[in-house]
Amino acid sequence: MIYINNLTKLYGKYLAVNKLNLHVPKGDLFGFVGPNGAGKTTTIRMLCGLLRPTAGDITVGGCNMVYSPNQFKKSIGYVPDFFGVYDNLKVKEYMEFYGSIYGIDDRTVAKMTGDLLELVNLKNLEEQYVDTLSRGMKQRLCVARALLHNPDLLVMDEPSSGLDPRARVEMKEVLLNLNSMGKTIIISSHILSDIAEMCNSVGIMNKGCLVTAGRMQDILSMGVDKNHLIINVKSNMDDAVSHVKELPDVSINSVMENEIIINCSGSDEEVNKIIMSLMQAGVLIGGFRKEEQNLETLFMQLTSQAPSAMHPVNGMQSGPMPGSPVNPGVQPGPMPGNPVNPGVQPGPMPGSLVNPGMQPGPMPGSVNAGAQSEPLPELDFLKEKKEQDNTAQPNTEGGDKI
Amino acid sequence: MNIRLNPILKKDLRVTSRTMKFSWGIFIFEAFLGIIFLFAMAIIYDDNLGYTGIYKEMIALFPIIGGTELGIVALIMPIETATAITQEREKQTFDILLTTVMTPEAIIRGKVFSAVARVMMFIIASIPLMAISFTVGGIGWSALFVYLIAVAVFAFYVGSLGILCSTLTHKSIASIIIAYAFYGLIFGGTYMPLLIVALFMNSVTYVFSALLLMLNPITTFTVFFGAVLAGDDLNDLLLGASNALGLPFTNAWVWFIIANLVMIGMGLIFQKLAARRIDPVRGYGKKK
Repeated sequence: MIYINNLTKLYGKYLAVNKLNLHVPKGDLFGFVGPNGAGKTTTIRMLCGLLRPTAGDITVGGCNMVYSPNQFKKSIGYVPDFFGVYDNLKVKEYMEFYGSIYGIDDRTVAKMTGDLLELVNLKNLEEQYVDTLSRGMKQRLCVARALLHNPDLLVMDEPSSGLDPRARVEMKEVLLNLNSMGKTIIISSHILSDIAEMCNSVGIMNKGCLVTAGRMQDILSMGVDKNHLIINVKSNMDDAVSHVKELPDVSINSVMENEIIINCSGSDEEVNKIIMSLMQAGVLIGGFRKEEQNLETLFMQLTSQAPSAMHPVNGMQSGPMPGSPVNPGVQPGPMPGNPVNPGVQPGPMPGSLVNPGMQPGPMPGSVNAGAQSEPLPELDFLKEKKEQDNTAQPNTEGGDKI
Repeated sequence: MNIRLNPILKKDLRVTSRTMKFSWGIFIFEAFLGIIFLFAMAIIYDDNLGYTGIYKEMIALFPIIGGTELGIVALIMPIETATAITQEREKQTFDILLTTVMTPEAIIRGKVFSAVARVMMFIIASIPLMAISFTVGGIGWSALFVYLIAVAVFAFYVGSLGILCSTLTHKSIASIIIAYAFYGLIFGGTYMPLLIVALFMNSVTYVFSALLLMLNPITTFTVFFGAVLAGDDLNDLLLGASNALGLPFTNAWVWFIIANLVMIGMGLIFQKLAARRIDPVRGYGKKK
């Protein structure tokens, strides 16, 4: 669905996005996470054609941004983080306006508006003025607007920012609903719990580089650190600490008043061995639990590491791109202070989303600029949704493609 | 028949016609013109007290009302157009617009035409007032028709410039100031070369500095009103000037038509530049 190849953005000498390679399969709900200034929004803006890349290619649904910009734009629906409104415009007129941009006549838009508003839980608000809607409603209206031309891809920049908890939950439901209808969705967000709950794949960015990307379960099981075993010690804490220190393949992460956190592989066999050993040493154990890796801890670990220690997945490439057509002034190799790891070799890791063999230029099947524009599609996904109303099936499309 | 209007023009016309601000704008515009009209009538009447040819003098109402209208249009156009893009940016609706299939050229065109349409609504609303000078002053309807076209060209020209200014900054106030500065250059600055040449030099550069005035709508409308009021007398004057100074035009209407074409051409150039300014990926494909 989306192929991003060596995408780079320089602001003067500041490297905002560094040779980003990414492939998101059709039907994925992909979460883009990273700290402020990581390059998420820059990447999303380049993906939507709002920012000119310094180098690299973007292809969405076989359409290249350069060779078929019109088809490229038709395949994307963009929802910005802040939803601005036009004064004195009703909801239906707002939809008519964007419908007319895509060449859809007012009557068709009126019909589609009803269906889309129902989809985003804004039914019967056609006659309401847009500027009187709440922020959450505006955000959902923006989603409806972005779906008007039936794009294959929905790109959302911080869709939950500034929303109250109820609006966030409603937005989440809308997105899951859309994803279940087969829409590919890319979300950039700071709210990691939302991303972990909703998305089936995730990419973590830091300092312009894609640190890691893959299926959510693969990412979570990857672990950049050993798992933690937390043991509640009722007595003989000093004995317990000294005993653990003597055990092979484990180390003490930290010791608290009555808890001891141990770094270990986390296998049941090893946990069993540690507990048994402590009990045999006369340590009274109140309980124990394994601290599982979650997106938040992984995010903290990955984004707190020095650039050179970043996890070498996803073909993060350093050095100049062969035959790079732009920015002749850029020196080969890492920029001063940029997060490039010269030691990281190009090439994907198992489970990586990157397509290393992808050549720059249009993708196979890409539509050229001279291609005839297709008639505007019906909202097939809505029809299917209605048909499948009672037999909702989980979306597994693209699940095994990475 | 289904006429496909530019979506921005359609939306702006719908929103504009709905606001009280626009209705009040037309009311104030008409009231101001009415006051000017009454003053002009009083002056013409006083000057011609007892003179039976007073109706012929009423023809002066045409340039007075027309000139006043153009002055008001010149004043409001920067506010109408120089904020067109900046307001979209400030309201954060511009990014959404740019991600649609609408090209930057179509966005700019829509903005210019919606500004021209709004201005023409003001002008058309004042036709009854102007019609008095036709019925009593002996001006033909064709003159009014030409005047309306010329005002539309004028609005297109200054509107395009205003839109270009709107793309130069991200703040509405700054773009309005820049627009007024550019308008000052066009309305006043274009006289400067001619003035300098006339005062200090005596060469063929006179012709070029005179032709520069084609960019100046004041000159164009002066020629238009002169041609309507003076007719052949103005042509005689131009012929004399042409012989003495080497001006290429000896007919006022020729000057007027060419000047309008120049303004349309300049308007299109301004629009092209504005479209380039707002195109977020301009030049990206050319590097491939």
